[in-house]
Amino acid sequence: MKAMKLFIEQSDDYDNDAEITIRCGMTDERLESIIAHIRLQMFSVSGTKDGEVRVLPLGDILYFESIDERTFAYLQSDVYECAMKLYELEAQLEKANFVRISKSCIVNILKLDSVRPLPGSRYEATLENGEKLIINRHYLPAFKSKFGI
Amino acid sequence: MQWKKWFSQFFTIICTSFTVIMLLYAGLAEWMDAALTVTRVFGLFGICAMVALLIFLTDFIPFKTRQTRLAVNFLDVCIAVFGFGGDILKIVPFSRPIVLTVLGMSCAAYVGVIAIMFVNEQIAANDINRKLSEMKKR
Repeated sequence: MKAMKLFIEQSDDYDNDAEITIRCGMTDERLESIIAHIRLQMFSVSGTKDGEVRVLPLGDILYFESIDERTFAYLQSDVYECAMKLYELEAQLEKANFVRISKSCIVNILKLDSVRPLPGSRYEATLENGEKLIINRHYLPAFKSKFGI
Repeated sequence: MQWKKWFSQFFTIICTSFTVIMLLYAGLAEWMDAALTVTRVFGLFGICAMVALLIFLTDFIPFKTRQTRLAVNFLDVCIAVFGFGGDILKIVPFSRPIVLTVLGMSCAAYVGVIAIMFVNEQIAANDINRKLSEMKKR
C-alpha cells in the first residue's frame, strides 16, 4: 500500500466553493474508494415531497426506483420524487457507489447490509433499514464488479 | 474480464453436466444395453457442450417469468440431446424407454448444474458480504 499525503489549504482568500485535486500515478483500491466517496458527497439530486423541494445528499439515499415513469429516491424513512430519469441517474452515478440492480432500481451499495443468492441466479439484497431488493440476473455481473468479483 | 466470467460459467456447466451424465450412464449402461465406448464418451461431451452453449446463448433473452426461462432451458436440452445427439451424432436412439431415460438423465444433469451454480453464487455472496463489512469499517 502506497503512502498518501493530505494537504488542506484553508484561507479567507478562497470563495465558498471548495476544490479537490488528487495527484497520483496509478490508482489503487484505496484511492478508488476515496474518489468514490468524494463523488458521492459532491453530487446531489433534488427531490420533491408534499410540494416541498429539498436537495438530497447522495450519501443519504438508499436507492432510486422508477414506478410508472416516475423516479423516486428512498431515504432511511422518507421517499422523494426526483425529476431525473433512472437512466440519467445511472449515467451520473456510474462512478459513485451506485449500481443498477434491476430494470427499475439503482442502489447505493454503501447502504447495503447483506446479500444472499436466490435460485435462478438472482440475489436478494437487504438494506440498512431492513428493506429487501431483488438483484436481477442480467444486472448481477455489474453488481459483482462493484466489489471486484 | 466479462469473457473470463462467461467462460468460467460455461466451463462449470459443461463439467458438472458431463460428470452427472457419465455417472448416470455408467449406472444405467447395463440396463440400457449401451456400452460406454470412446466415441460415445466424446459424443456425450459434445452434447453437454451443446446444451451449455444453447443455455448460455438463450440466457441473454430477457424473460419475464422464471417459468418461461425454465421452458426455454428444457427446449435447449431437447434440441441438443435429440437434435445434435440423436440426429447428427446418432448416439441417442429414438425408442420410447430410451427417450424417457435420456430425458430423466438430462433433468438430473440440469438439477446438478443449478445446484453447483447456486453453491458458486453462495461463495460470491459471502465474498460480497465480507467486502461490505470491510467498507463499513472504513
